[in-house]
Amino acid sequence: MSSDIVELEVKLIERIMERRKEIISEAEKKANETINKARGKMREILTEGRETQLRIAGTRLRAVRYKILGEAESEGRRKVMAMRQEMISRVFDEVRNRLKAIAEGKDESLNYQDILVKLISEAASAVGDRKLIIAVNKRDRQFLQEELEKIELKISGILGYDVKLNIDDEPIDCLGGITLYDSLKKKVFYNTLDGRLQKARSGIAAEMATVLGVI
Amino acid sequence: MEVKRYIEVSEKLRKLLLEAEAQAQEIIRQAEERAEKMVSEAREEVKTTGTGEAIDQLLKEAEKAANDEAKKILEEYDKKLSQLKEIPQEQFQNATEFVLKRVIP
Repeated sequence: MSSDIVELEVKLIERIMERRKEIISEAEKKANETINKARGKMREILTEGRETQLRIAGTRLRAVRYKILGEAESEGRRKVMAMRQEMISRVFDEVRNRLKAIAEGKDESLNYQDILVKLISEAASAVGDRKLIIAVNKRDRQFLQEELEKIELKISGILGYDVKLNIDDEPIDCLGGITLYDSLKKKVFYNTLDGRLQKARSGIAAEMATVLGVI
Repeated sequence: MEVKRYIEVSEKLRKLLLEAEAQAQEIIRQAEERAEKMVSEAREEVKTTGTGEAIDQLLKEAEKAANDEAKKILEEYDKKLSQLKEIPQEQFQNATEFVLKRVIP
């Protein structure tokens, strides 16, 4: 075998071995790229998944928290409101008792007959007629019958014109005060203590609650 | 004689290259298989933990914390209730007089 042939063989073997190395190296490079891409994809999936879980968990956690705290707030507010209403009712009950005592002449700090004259005068002024029918409860009816002329004079004096009062045959059911009609009973003015108390309850409850200190 | 030997060597080298290519393909196939497994495992992990005990545990803890907080809120309202119950008689009288003045002309 000539040295030329041997040299040729050695070169061929070297070239093939080099090529073999290249093929394996390229495959390893490609394999690494595939694994790296998969790692990236894996991280992306885990991150997205965690974010989604956190979002879902966050929403559920907030919902649970809001529900429990909201219920507690509602219950607390409801109890306080009920207590406020109870205190306000106690005041109005007391006022009603005081009005009853005043109307029955048991409260010496106020003269019910003066109050009655003012109530009649206020109603007569609103109705505007000179001939009026006045309806009262049984107790006040007796007083009015006895004092009718004096009361007419007082009312006429207050209003500045003569007023004629007739007492209605039918007594009304109330603590005190009056219901006043014109002579044809077409116009009516309710001025009972009960009615005024009811009006006050709807009109000044908030102001009264401030005075009471429950607001 | 020399030509024959040259052909034999060439044949061996060609087989060597074919084996290298087969080995390369195997390396790539294994990498692809591993990559696919990595991705599907990640998907499975997300699926499992997403519906699983981790969130339930978090919810239990949040519920307990919220209940504790709710208890404090109710205690605060109970304090307000006690204050309302203890309104001085004088204030009660003032309120009664206030209403009376509006009712009586």
